[in-house]
Amino acid sequence: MYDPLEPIISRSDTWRGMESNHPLQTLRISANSDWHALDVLPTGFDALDNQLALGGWPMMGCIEFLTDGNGMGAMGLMLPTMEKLGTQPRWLAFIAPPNTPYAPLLAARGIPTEQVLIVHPKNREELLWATEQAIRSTTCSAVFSWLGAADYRYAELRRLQLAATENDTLSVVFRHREAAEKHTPACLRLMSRGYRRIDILKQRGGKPISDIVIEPDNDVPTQPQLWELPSETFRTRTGHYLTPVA
Amino acid sequence: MSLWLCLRFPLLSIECLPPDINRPAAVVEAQRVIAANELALTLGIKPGQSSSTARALVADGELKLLNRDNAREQQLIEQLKCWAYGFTPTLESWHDDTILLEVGSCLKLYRDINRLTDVLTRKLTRRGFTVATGLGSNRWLAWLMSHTDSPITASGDNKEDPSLTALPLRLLLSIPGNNFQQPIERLAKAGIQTLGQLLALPPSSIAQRCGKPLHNWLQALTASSDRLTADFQPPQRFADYLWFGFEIRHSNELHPAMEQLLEGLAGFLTSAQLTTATIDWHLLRTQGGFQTLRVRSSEAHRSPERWLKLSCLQLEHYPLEEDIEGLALYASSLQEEVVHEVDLFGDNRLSEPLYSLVDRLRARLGLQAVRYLGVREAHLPEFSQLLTEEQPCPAGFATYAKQRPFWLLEEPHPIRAWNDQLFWNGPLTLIHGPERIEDNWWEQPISRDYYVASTEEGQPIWIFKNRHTQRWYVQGVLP
Repeated sequence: MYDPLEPIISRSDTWRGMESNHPLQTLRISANSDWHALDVLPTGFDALDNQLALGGWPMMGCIEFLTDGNGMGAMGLMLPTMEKLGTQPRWLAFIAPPNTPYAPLLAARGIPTEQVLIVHPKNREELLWATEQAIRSTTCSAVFSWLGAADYRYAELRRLQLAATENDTLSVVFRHREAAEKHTPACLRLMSRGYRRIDILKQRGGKPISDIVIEPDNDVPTQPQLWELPSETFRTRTGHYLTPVA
Repeated sequence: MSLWLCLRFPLLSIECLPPDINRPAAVVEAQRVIAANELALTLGIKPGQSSSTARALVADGELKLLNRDNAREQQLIEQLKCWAYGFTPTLESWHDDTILLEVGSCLKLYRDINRLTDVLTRKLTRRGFTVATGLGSNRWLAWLMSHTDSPITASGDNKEDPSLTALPLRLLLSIPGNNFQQPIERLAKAGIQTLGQLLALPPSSIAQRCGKPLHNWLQALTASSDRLTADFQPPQRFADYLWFGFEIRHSNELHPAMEQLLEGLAGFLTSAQLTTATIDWHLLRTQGGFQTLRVRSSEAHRSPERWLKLSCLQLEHYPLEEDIEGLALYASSLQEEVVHEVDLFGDNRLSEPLYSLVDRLRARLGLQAVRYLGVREAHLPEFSQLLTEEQPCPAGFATYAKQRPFWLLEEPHPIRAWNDQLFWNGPLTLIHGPERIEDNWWEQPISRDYYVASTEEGQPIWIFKNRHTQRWYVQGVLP
């Protein structure tokens, strides 16, 4: 039977949601789609992987992360990914980061710090250019770019998205929350709600999901280790008081 | 059997000077014109004329008379030798205007002598040189053949060639070092004007009548091979230049010239098995003087495409101060080539060398804008890492990772303590600590108690109390 919607649905630029939670079985990608391969990288957090349509970060295409402030807290979610990507002999590029990533932590996590490139462009044009160059060049395993609160045209972001679909570089751009009201060409858009709590605003092949809570890993204990008490008393999470010594 | 290819540059003395196609020009040595450009030739100026005749032929002082610049000619010949080294290792310069290449040993590589000559002449013509070629089994024969119009023949054995035998004997006068003046004048009186007539005479009688030197020279000319000299040793530096013949005002017009010069550099470096990490451009101004542009790369290489890309990027932000009419390329610190091992079964995702991205970013953003992250073994967090321009060695040691921040603030930021409560963008809750870090006792003792505190949102941050001043600071954001 002829379905009049079929030609429209099969177009590559038709955005399709998804009904099932098993993405790989139901996700139908047209042949001329710009997703050449389902190259997926697990995020390292089950709570997040379960909600992402592909079961991890998409490697083909941009990931847009909307944060308030400078988005420093959001990088914690990328740490397991960086550990995995650090095994490749390629660059981990930080473009216009708000601060310097702490090298001893990266080294202790097994991330080769000598592969980290810190790039500080001087203006908006250079920032976009450097980001595109890093994504387009196949020599980066991951590109993290802080686009900041500036306004970007759709066409400018589209260039980054197109560059990202061409190779298997994990491309993450951090933008301000206010950008949520504007369209994005990115294939995955996340917004941080607080520490380890994120919303999926848009994902290719999946539905938006709000308030995903990612349990902090066991790095930060919930109980304070009171082997030495501060002299003044400060409230702790469990209601105890830490008293710093003089 | 040896085979010599002669590349003779009859107009070298004028071609080594900045060209000016709009004005007739001639090069003068000892009040005699020795070469002239096309415009001057059409006006009737001929080599051999005195400079006053030449001046009289062209009205209103239009004629540009240039003095011969021997140093420049020599420099050009050296450059051409470096370039020719890409074809054969056995070569030498000859007289002032000739390079002789021994090509018999590299014929297999080029399969065909005509093909090789085609490539050579095409490349030289493209650079604006007038070249006469000749092929022979010895140097003399090759040189003489370069004065004829006869096509190159594969064997190089062309002593019977009619155009060779028709060459005037007076040509031998221009051979420096040999004084054939007297014998040739004597032969001319006897009616012997051409080389063919001389070669037809019995050799013993030539020795008797014209002296040993001419006899020996004829012996050398008819020999089927010639002594080989040691291989040419290319210098450990590269220099080349190009005159456009017109003025350039915009930097993007330089690209074709750059491409051509870089191709030459790549050819030279390949044949000498060298690489370079720095190149220097000199943009030669019309009014004299030059602008310099230094292009660096993180790793030494010789890929002309990469150098061109980097140079163009740098040139975009480099306004031309004045009109440019020439371009020179220098590479003075050449390095031995490092052979990289290629892992056949490894990851082959890279479509370009690893460092080309770094170079590209640096070419546009500046050297300081792209830095590497290094680890230093120090107790104080702010001293335990550094940003460098050179890539650091792999750190390789595992440091204590628990309760360390992902981001380190540039400066510790003071936080407010009020009424038993710490505030930094809202109240803070201590969740871990303290950890004491003391260091720098030799200068200004530092003693800090580090805690992990949680913000209202639940974001853990790294704070410390300065034990000397009892003040609190935030220094990092945990992952």
